[in-house]
Amino acid sequence: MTRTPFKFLDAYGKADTEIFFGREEEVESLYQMSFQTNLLLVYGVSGTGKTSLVQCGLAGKFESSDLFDITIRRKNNLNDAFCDELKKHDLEGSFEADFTADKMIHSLYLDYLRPIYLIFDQFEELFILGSPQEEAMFVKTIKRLLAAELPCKIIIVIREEYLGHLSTFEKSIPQIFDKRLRVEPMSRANARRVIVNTLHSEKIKVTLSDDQVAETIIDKVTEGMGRVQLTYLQVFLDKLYRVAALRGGDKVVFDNELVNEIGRIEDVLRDFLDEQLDVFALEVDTKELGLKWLKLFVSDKGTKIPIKRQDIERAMPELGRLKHFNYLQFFVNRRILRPLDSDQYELIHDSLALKLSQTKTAGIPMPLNVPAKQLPSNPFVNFSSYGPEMAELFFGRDKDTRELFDKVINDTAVRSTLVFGPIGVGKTSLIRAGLMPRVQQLFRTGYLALSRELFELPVFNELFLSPPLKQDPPRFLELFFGEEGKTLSTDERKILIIDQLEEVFIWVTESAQLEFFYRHLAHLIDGHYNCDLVLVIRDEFFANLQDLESFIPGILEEQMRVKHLDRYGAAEVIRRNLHYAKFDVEGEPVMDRILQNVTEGDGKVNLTFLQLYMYKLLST
Amino acid sequence: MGAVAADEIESFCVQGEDKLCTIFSHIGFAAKYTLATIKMIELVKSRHNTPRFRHNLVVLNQLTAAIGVLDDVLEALDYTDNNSVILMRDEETVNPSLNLSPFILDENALSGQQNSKLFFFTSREGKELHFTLIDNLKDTLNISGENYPLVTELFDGFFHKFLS
Repeated sequence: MTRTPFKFLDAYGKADTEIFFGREEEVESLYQMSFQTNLLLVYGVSGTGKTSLVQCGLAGKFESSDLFDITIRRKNNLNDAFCDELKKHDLEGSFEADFTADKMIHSLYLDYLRPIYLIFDQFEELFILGSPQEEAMFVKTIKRLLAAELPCKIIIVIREEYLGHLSTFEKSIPQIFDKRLRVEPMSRANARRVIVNTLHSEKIKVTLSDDQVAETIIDKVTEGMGRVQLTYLQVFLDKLYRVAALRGGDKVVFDNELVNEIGRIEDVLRDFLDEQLDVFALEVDTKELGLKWLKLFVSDKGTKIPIKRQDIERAMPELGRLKHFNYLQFFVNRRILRPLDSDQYELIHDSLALKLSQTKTAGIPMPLNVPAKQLPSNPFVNFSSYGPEMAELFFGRDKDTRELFDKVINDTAVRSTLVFGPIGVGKTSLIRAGLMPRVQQLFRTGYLALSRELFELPVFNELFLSPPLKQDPPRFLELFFGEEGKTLSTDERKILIIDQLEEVFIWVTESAQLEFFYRHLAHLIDGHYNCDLVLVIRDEFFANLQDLESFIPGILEEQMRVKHLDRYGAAEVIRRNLHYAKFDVEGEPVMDRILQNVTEGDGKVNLTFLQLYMYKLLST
Repeated sequence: MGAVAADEIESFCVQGEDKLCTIFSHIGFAAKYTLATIKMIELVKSRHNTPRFRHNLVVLNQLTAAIGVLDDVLEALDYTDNNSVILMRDEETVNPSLNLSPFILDENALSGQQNSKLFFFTSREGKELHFTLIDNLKDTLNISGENYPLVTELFDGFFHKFLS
C-alpha cells in the first residue's frame, strides 16, 4: 500500500506546523487566552482536531525556548501517569523520592528554565474509567499546582460530552470554566484552504488540476451539506492520493475525474473500515472479534444505532471491561465510532453499518458431534420427543439446529430467542436433541418445560408467580445455575430454555400472576446476568406474547419458526433411523407408502404420526 | 551567525558572564524593586474607619515574565494609579512607587483579564502607538485610540507636559 503524506488519523504535532491550516482563528484565540489564565479548557466533539490545535497550533506560536510542553494521557491512573510523565523528563535526576507534583514541576523549571505547559489530553478517560478517589486526588493536585504560583500552565483537552463532569471540579477550582475554547467542525471556506494549502505544501506536493477540484472534494466529503468532518476529509484525501499515485507519472495530480472515480464518501469509508479492522487485528485482537463487537452498533435493519458504553459491556460480558475499553478506544481513536452525549457511541456513518450488517462473522462454531450415549434398539420415539440421550438419532434437522444455535449463541445483540411453530412440528426435539447437546458442551444450560403439574407446585409459584423481590439475581436462576456457597457469576455465560411457554397462558389465569411471571423473565434479561433466554411456544399462542413484549421489548426481535419437515426431510429421518436399526427401505414405493400414511390432508408430514407409525412398525 | 565550536562554549560563557557582571554592576539596584501590575483600585470605607485602598495587582517577580503568576490583593492607606505597571520598593505598600505606564503597559489590566501580559513602548507612527510583548519580543500591540483610549490619553498627557 502506498504510504501517503497525510496525517490521516494522527494528531498534528509541533513538527507539522507547515501543513497545519484552517484553524488560524482558533489558534489565535487559544494563544491569547494562554496569557489570561493558568488553566485552559479545550473542548469539542470527537474528530474536530482538539489535540492538533493544542499540540501543533498553539505550540507553533511559541519559540522552542519559551515552551516546555508535557502531554499526559491517563493510562491506568491519571495521578500515576502524571507523575510518571514528569519523571520521564527529569533527565538531570533532580527529583527526590518524596517530591510531589508541584515540587517536580519546580525542579523541572530550574533545570530547563522554560515555562511548562501541562497538556492533559483525552481527559474524558478520567470520567470513563477513573474512580472517584482518583478524581478527587487529581483535583487536589491541580488545585495545589495553581495555588503554588509555578511557571506552569495547565491545558485540559476534553470531548464536549464530558464537559459536564468537570462541574465537580468547579467546587475546588472555581476558575475551571473561565477560559475555554470550543473547537467547532470546520467551515467550507476553511476546509477549502486546508485542501489547497495542504496539497501544495512542500511535504505533500500534490497538483490540483483546477480550482474546482477542492470544491468537488468538499462536496463529496460533506455529501452536499453542512460543515466538514475533518476525519472524512483526511480519509478521502488519503484515498485520492493512493489512487492518484497508482496512475504513475512524475507528479501526483488530483483532478475532477479522479475525485469522481473514487466514488462517494460512503464507499471510501467502507474501504476505510476494512483497513482499520486489519490494523485492529495487528494491534488489538482478532478481526473476527472486532467485527462482532462493531456489529453491536448496527440495528437489525442495517442502520447505525447509538449504544451506551455499559450496554456494550453487557452485550458481550465475556470480553471483560478492559477489552471493551481497549476496543472502544481503538475504534474511537481510529474514527470508526463517534462518541455522543450520555456516554453513548455510534458508527460514524450509516454506510459502515450497512457494510457490517452484510458481513458475516463466524462466531462460536457449533460442536458437530454430540456426546455418545447408550442408545435404544428402536430409534423412533413413539409419542414422546427426542431428548439429549437420543441426540445421535435425531436426523433431518441439521440446518434448523445450526440456525437456532447461531441465533442463540452468536447473535448476542438480543439476549432472548423465541422459537415457535405449530403443534407436532418437533420444537421440543429440536431443542432437546438438536440444540441442547451442542450448547451444553460450551455453556451451562438449564431446561424447564412448563406444565400444569409445575404450576401446582408451591416452589414454582414462589419462584415465578409471586411478586418478584428486588433480589439480585433471581432465585430461579440460582436454582438452575447456582453453586452452594458461591455467588452467581456473571462472567460465565448461561443458557436457560423455557419450553411449552403456552402452558402459562392456559393455566395461569390471574392477570396479576401473569404479570409477575413476565416481570421475573424481564428481570432476568434486564439484570444482565449473562444468561440467554430461549422461549419455545406454539404458533396459536403467539399473540399472547404481546403482553410479554411490554415487559421485554426485544422479545420478538430474534425469533425462529420451526416448519414442518418436507417429504425429503421426513424420508431422511426414516431412512437414517432404519439404517441405524439395520433395516432398509426397499424401493421408492415403500417410502412413498410410509410417507403417505404419515402425511395429513394438507400435504404436511406429521412428525408425531411418523414417529408413532415407525415405532410400531419397527416393534412388530 | 556561525555555529559555536564545542571547545569554545566555555570561553563564550565566561566572556558572557563578564559582560553581564558589568551590566549588573550598574543596574543591579533594580533587583531591590518589585515590578507589579496594578489593575482596579477599590475604595474600602466603612463608618468610623479610615479609608483604605484595595489594589488588585499582579506581582511580577518571576524570571518567566507572567507565566504562572496569580492575581493578588494589597490593601493600603495610600493609593497609586489604576491600570498601571509600577516598581515598588516594598511589596506591602504602594508608597513610594514608580509608575512606568504607558511606556510599559499590561494589556490584561486594560482589558480586565486575569494574569498579566506586559508590553513595552517601541514607536509611534502618527496617532498609532506600537508596543512589543516582553515575553517574546515578537508579538505587537498597536493602539490607535479606538482600543484602550486610556493609553492614548496618557501619552497625550506626556506630550503636553514635556513637548508643549
